[in-house]
Amino acid sequence: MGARVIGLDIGSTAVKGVLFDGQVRRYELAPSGWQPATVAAAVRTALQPAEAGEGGVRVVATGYGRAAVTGAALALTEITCHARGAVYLDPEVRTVLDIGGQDCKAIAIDGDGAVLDFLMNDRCAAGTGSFLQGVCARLGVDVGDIDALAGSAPPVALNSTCAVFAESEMIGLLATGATRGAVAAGALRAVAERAAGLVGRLRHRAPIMLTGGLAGSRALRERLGVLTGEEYRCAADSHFCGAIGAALLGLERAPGSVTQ
Amino acid sequence: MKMPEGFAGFDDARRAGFVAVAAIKETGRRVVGTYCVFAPTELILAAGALPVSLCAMSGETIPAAEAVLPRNLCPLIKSSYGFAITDKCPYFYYADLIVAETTCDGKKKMYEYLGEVKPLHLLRLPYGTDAVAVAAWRAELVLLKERLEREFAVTITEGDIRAAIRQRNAERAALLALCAVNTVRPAPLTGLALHKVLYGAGFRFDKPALIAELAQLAATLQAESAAAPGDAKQKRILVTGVPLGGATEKVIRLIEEAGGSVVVYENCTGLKEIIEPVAETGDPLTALAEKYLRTACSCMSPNRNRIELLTRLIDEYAVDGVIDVVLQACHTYAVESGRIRRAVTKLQRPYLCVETDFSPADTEQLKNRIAAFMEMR
Repeated sequence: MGARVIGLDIGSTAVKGVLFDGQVRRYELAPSGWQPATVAAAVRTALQPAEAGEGGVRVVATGYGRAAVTGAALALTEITCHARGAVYLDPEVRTVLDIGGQDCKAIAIDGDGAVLDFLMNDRCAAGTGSFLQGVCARLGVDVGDIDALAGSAPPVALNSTCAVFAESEMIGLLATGATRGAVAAGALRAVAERAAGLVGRLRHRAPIMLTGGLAGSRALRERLGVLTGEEYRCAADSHFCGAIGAALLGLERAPGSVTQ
Repeated sequence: MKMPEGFAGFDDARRAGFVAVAAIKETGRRVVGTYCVFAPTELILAAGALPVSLCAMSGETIPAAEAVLPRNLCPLIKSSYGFAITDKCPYFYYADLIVAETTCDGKKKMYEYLGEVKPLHLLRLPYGTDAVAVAAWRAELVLLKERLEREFAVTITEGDIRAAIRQRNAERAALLALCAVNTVRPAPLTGLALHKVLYGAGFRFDKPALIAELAQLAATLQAESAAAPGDAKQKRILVTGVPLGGATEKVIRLIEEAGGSVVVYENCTGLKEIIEPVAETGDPLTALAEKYLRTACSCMSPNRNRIELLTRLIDEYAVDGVIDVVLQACHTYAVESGRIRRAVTKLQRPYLCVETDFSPADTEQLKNRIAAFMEMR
């Protein structure tokens, strides 16, 4: 049996974990809730192979909650881990766009998954997952079902640049007869515009892999493609991109080294 | 962070200076407050006055400033004004005159309000380095000279100016020699220690003693580094952009906590002002005008000197990566960061631009960006 590592991506919305030995052997996903450290520990335990013995396999942590993981062999930023995971999932990608719960990152990478440059928006909810989560909650739909709801409805224009004000704007639009589908489409477009702006400011190459909780939205990928004229892809395991990248880096780097 | 021996005189120099400046005023000597490295301190010295840099690095006084100034303004400008109107800066309190320059838009307009609080002399800065600009800046220096003579009832002779130039040049050379200890690998001075010395030096008013101490410190550091070399694998970082200090020390700390070693500062609290001496021959006012106009501030246009300086420093200090710090609402440094990015990328070094203000609220975000940058190969 080859060397195995657990990669943990402790995000603001969800904790993602994989047991990895060159391929993903196990997946775990749990909502972060109010105590991501506890959830991370539970995910780690769930991933430990029974036959690994006392110490279990090495753990590499990423995500905003990475410092809370006790005994991690390595703790790396999600930028570094998403970059590495993305080329594993799709060796052709040269940019990663990660629309996370509370931030949005555009990462330019090389063929080995090394970070060349990056830009982050982590000061403003507009263009992040939390905005869409708020919208979905209002519309009574799961984030995963937003594509189905939006369908082919023409998107309403949301004028507010602020995610909080955009929600009020949405309520107003629904009250004056806009369909839930049109509003959902409008929200997707707003997120796409923000994200496209971020990617546009980064010197990068296509194709671009979308990761994060919204990676599965075809409508979002299509809108991004239209706005930027570039090819947006996702992989089946996009959601686990950070965890996989963390695990890969754990296998590739010497045990015991902390950040480099 | 515990400062090593020899730094004692710099760590708290700003505070210790409060008492020193009070004593200086007792002797009848005048005090002139300045905000910026464009201030021709030589003329102030030639007038027999003490030039002192005014407080501008704390977020504490910003709420008071925001009663008058817009929120969407550089925190350094708001902080300066806030210190002045709340009487929280002892140097401002003791100042007989303020010397200010029309560097950026924000400062230019803030000084209009500041002039209502204390007598203020405004120098109108031309944004170039050609002969026309030098002539214009020289003419402004003449106006300042005349103002100082009138305000303080003194006569400033050419000899006075030459003496002041020599004194300031000696100070610049001593500070630069200290910065230069960091050209070796690994750098003997941490970024934080280097910053504290450079920042503190401005508040040490006994200049001969300061110069001697700096020389001693440089010699000790060189000897120590030869004897016990530290970690040569640390990534050597050049920090550029806006002046740092007080609230923005957080950036320096975060870089070093992430495993970086800040070896040199291309900014106004670093070597920007000290790297070039004033010529000691020829007409002194022209020499002053020429040197000061070559300051690589983003308010100058074009600011080629900054690219030249960065290129030189990246080589001299064996820099591995560049971090460009821009304050919120600072248009000139923000717009210029694109040019800096291009120049640094051309030199094949990684580049990171961070925007921040004086609040500690963005510590986690800064930490994350800096960590990701340090993880880059």
